[in-house]
Amino acid sequence: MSLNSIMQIGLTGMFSAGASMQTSSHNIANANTPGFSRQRAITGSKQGMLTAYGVLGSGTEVMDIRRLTDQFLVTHHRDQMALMNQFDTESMALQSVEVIFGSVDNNHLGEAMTQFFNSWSTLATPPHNEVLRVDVLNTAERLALDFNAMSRSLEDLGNDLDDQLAVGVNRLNMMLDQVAAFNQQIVVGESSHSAANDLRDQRDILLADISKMARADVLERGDGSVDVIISGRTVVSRNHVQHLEVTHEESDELQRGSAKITVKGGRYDLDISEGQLKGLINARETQVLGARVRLDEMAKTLIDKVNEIHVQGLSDGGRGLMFFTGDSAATIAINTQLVDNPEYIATSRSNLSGDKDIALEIAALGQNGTDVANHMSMTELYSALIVEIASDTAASDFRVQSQQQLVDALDARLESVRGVSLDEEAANLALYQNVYQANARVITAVQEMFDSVLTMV
Amino acid sequence: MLTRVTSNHLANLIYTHTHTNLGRMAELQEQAASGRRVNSYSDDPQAVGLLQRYDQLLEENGQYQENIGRARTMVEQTDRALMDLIDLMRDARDIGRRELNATWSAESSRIGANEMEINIEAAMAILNQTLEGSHTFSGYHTDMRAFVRSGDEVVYQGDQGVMNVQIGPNTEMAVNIPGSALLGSDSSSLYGYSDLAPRLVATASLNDIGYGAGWEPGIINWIDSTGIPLEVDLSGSGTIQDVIDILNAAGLTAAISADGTGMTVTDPGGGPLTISDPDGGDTALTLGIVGTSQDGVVVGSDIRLSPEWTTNMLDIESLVGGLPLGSLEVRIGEDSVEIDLSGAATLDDVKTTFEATVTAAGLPPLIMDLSENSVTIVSNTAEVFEVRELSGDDTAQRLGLVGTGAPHRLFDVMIEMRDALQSYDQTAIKRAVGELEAIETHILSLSMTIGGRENMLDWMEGLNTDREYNLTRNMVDIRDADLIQVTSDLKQAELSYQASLMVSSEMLKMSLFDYL
Repeated sequence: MSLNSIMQIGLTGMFSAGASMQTSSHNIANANTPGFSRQRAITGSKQGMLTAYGVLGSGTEVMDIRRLTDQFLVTHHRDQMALMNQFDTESMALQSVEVIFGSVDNNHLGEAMTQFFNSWSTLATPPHNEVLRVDVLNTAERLALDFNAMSRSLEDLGNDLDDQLAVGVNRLNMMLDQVAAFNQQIVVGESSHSAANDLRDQRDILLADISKMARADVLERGDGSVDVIISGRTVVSRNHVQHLEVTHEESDELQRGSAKITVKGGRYDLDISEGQLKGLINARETQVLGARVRLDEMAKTLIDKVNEIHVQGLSDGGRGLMFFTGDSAATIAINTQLVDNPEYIATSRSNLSGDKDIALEIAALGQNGTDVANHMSMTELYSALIVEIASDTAASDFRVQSQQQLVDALDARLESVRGVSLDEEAANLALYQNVYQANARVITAVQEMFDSVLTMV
Repeated sequence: MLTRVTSNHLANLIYTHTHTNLGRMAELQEQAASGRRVNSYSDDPQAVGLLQRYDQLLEENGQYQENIGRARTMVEQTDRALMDLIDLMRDARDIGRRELNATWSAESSRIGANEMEINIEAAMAILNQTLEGSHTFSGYHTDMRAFVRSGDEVVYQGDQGVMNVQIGPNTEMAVNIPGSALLGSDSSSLYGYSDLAPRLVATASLNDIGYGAGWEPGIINWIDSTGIPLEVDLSGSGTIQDVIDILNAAGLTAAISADGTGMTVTDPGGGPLTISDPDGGDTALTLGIVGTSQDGVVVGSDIRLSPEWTTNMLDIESLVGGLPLGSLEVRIGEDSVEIDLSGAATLDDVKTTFEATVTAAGLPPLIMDLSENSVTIVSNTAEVFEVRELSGDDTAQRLGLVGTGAPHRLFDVMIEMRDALQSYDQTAIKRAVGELEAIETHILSLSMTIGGRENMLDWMEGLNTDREYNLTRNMVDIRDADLIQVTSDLKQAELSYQASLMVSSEMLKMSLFDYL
């Protein structure tokens, strides 16, 4: 035993307490840093000195700065966030579709359709007034224009989703690059057997963000790097990255063909299982396109049924003309010959001014109880479409809320494990301060001992 | 249960709960501001389905009400036209009767004929009326006049088109009467021309003639060969015989005329004789003895009672010498049947035998009816039928039934009446009067149909109004917010929000650092 040894022990204690205080300070400083995992300075007693009368302790040392987290929770949270983002994206798209179809107080297409059929009913009601033909043309034009506008809005929405998909894949590629860069830094940083805690935190944040875009499996290697696997394809391995890209199948009449995500230069599609990109693809392919298909079916049914009846009639222009042209919501329009010559509107099979059987039959297409398709009238078909969209949107909102609750619960559990508690850190700081002061007192005591020895001289 | 609660966790909880509270408040605020519980489709998909349905039903209901409004103008105008036409028919008959009862003169004939011509033109105007440019009696040919006249020929150029209007769910109603219906295109009639009124008898009640029951005879005036105005009070007399007795007692000679159509009053002094009513009286007129005779014999007009089914044929002057009746032939298309009326004693016997024989022969039913003083035969189809005499048997002629049963001849009969008035052809006038009465009855039945339609429109309008009320109420129940409830909930949500903000701010303020 020597006074120097005792002083050295005091120094190790002061150093250890200082390191712990620094770690706590780091925690406090990053208390609000997203994804930050609190750290702890792990201390241990230094190996003692063997003496004749036993092993004398030689103080303390910092053995590790440990990152406190739960990898299982991190992975689970990442997966659920992928689903959350997918549902949220789908819900946003459905809400946009719902807005295009109007609201309870602004059911524009439904009103346009009702007014169109009512105008035929009025035209058929005596006393007959041929001026009412113009009203039929006006209501038909409003109906056709509304179909056109809604089709265009849905097309624009589909294109917006396409653009978002391309932007999303670019962002995903950037994040994959960043993960590869972090891999490299972590491998270098941990080559000295010390964990690169803050780099790992930042990489975890990136991995979570990647999973929000497309659910990713993460495989950590022994050197600290991670492989990122999306839909069975390894897209990041150490510092190597395989970028992704969006491709489209052949265009069809409605919009660009189905969107696919592939490995750039590769031959195989990546079937993204969850995440925002999956949500965008679903919204584009299922919800928006589905609504357009239903709207087109409705427009085509209207065109076919009205034309089918109208051509059976006679007018001043001879045999009844096609009333509508086109075959979809985007292309429906009034026959220009009728616009120029309202007298060509056929209201009866006899072309007698008081006979309105054709007008009555067309008016009946919109009335409840008429079997236009699936035992429903045109207006009932439209109502069914609205109810379907409403149900899908409500179900999607509910799914988002449920998933949000799950994510919130996981957030809380994760925060419980890795989050910084300021009270806890304050208590630790007081403790470390006391330890530091106690060790300083040890050194002071040794100094006094030295002084005592020196006065003996 | 979490083992570590961090300040971040507390902050997250505050975010989550304040967002939840704010979201709830925003939802309630939207309900309060719009007054609606359901604004977006996704607010309540099930309710949206019902709202869509109610909305469509209300729109349909509104269209039905609009249709009823438009149809009502058509129905009301048709009704007015038919009533005007009925007035015209009555006017025409009155002209005919007036001329039959009046002493003939060329001037009165000319005036009567002119009146009929005016009536014909009036009928043309009524039936060619338009509503918003549509001819109401042209069937489907609403763009052309229903009837056109060229000289004495009037042609219906419309069709039988019936315009239906939807006035309620699965409820359609015809709103027009095509001109063809006025012409009786759905039936054929043969108007008899023989006068089958029974002879006037002394026991005939005064209540059965003229104005009918309730009429009371009064004073009549006369000036006979003495030149002195005289009067006699007939009040209290109940029968023709009573009148004869009173007049005879007053110094005149009264009797039933030889042909049994009315009374004859003779001045024993040899005339001249003038019989009239005092101002405001109608006794002489009703008894048909108003007039002046230079030779002292006033031949009264026809005051016979109308024939009834119970009338014995022996009492009918025109059948004298022809009884018992023989047979006649009815022909419809290629089919014919002989009808033996020899067993008939009353007009009802004739009717029963006639109708039964036609039906038994498999021919379309023919119905015998009494119109004015003649017999009318009506078929319920527009098919023409014919009644013929058999060789050596004038039964059909005596009954006044030789001829063809055809759809009504609205304008033809008016023109014939005009011509008959012009030429003072009494037989033709009588026939036309009878036919006009039948036409009037026919138009009256059409008018009743129109009246029924007006009632139907009123009823449906009321029904639709009720339906609108019920649908709106259901819609409001589903769609609209309960403002009292919403206001209460909003206040509660506001309190919750304030409480959560207060508690959160207090919790976030606390830190161990404050105590170290």
